[in-house]
Amino acid sequence: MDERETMARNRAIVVLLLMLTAVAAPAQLPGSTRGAVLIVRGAGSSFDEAELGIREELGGALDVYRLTVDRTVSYGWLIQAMGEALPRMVVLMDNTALGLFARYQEHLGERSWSVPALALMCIDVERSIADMPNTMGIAYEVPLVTSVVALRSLVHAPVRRVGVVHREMMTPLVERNRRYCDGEDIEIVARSVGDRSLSHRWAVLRNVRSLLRSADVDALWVLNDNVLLRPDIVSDIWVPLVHRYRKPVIVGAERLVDPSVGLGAIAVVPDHRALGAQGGQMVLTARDNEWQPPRRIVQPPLSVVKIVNARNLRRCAEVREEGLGAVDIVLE
Amino acid sequence: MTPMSAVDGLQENRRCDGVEGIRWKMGGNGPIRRIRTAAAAIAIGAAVCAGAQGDTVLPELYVFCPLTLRPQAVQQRLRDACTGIDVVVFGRREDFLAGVQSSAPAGVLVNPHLGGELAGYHTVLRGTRQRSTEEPYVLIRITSEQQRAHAQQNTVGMVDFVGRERMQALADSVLGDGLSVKRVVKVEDLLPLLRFGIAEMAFVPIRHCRHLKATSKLDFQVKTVPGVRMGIVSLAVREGAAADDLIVAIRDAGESVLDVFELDGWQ
Repeated sequence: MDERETMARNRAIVVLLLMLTAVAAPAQLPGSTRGAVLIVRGAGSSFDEAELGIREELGGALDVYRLTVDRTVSYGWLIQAMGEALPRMVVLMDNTALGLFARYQEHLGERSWSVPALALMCIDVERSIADMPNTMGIAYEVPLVTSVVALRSLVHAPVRRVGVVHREMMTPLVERNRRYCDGEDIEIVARSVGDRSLSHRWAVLRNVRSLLRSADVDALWVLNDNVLLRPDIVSDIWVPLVHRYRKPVIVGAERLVDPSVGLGAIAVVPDHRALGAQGGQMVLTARDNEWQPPRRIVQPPLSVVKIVNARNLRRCAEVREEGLGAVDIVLE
Repeated sequence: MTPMSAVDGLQENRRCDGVEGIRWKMGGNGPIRRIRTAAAAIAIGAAVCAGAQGDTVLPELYVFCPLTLRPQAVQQRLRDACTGIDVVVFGRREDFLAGVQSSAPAGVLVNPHLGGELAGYHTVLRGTRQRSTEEPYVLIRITSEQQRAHAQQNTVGMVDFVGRERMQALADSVLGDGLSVKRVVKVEDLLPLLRFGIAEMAFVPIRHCRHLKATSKLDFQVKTVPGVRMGIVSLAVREGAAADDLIVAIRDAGESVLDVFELDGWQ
């Protein structure tokens, strides 16, 4: 069975288990004694996997309700849903759901604070929930340290200095990752680009070339930033430069490691089902604490999926072939 | 999706116990709907398993044993090594249990704790390391006081092989009460669990401890837990199934299978 068949099988298993989980759970009226959790989420297979992870983790300990939302949904529908499900906790999957709940909290004020919330699959969750009371989260961005440790296990050459080009608005994310790297002998070499730079093409060209040519970096870390990763910038600047200087490139999105794009050597992305399970554990911890969030407000994602573009990786490093056995998907 | 359908989603969820995406156009509340759901689920399960095993009917061996290799890599190695049987390796306990429930494979290769709770299966082989069917476990934690200060106290990370309640019970019995268990799916997930302070320490077999230390440059403290040894891996076969083919296939594979599980023999 090849990897695509394995992935197809895994997706079928997710659907199967999601259905079985629902069949196994007895119908409960809202406000039942064991309490309810309301999942507010978008549509799609990633959300299905994360929801399955939560349901498996809760294992019937709490009732689970779901409200599917998109950008057209007003927070009035959330108010109605909250009134019907009477949740003890709300799980918010993606920034649309988070935005709705933020408006709900603003609308109701302190009355809404008795229902804690957990945010998953949101971009820059730390900043997004900073002003939201009684809200905790799991970051969606995989910490660089996790990716570098994965890369190190795949190549013989040392990976110590990692270059990154980022917009100024992402400085907190880079600094947080610098702290995470403590103790792992990883140094982040950052080049900042103005948020309102007149030419991001020029800024990317200048900074990436400078990193690869003269900063003595062992690898490049590419942040998920739609502005610096515009298709024309990827094809005209990123790809030619990384091919010329032959450094492993760490990316955070599956499409960037695809051979048709040719940018990344390794993508390390969250395992959505495990992300849901991690969230489920946080929900149960909150329940055990009388629905108060724990001291730690935002956790990084613990479990990841590693995707390697073997051709790209071999082009820039001597690969430990035995290390590929610990990789989820190897693209040739 | 319109706002109306979003709220319908919630109402529909309540009617079908929380699963949106299953639209009950054929009507009926309660048991009929559940039977239809169950039938659909079983059909998917059968299709999944049929797809996995191909046309030839061979005795099936289902494997669930947390290792440092990915399930598909383990599966490929076991399939290459074992002739005359079909091997399916699972990475998650829930998938494994669902597979066993729907397909009733001839045998399972699992952590003995999990094997012991599978109704209808009995153990016929136990993997050995250094001539013992059990291996020592240790507690591992980060040495740095600075990082430990931020860790959630009295929490212990473990790779999940028997589920939330039984993992907690296991920790209570071998480590004493008062520790909260943080479970992870993969061995490698223990590293971020410790690094980010989500658990104060991890409880692992000593071979996994070696793997963590080889993977990370963090300094670790390792503490042996006296008297704590647990089973490594065991082969259990279904009552009435032809166990001989499985046993022969695994024994004949020799080092190829032993290496995967870091064993030195079978008993």
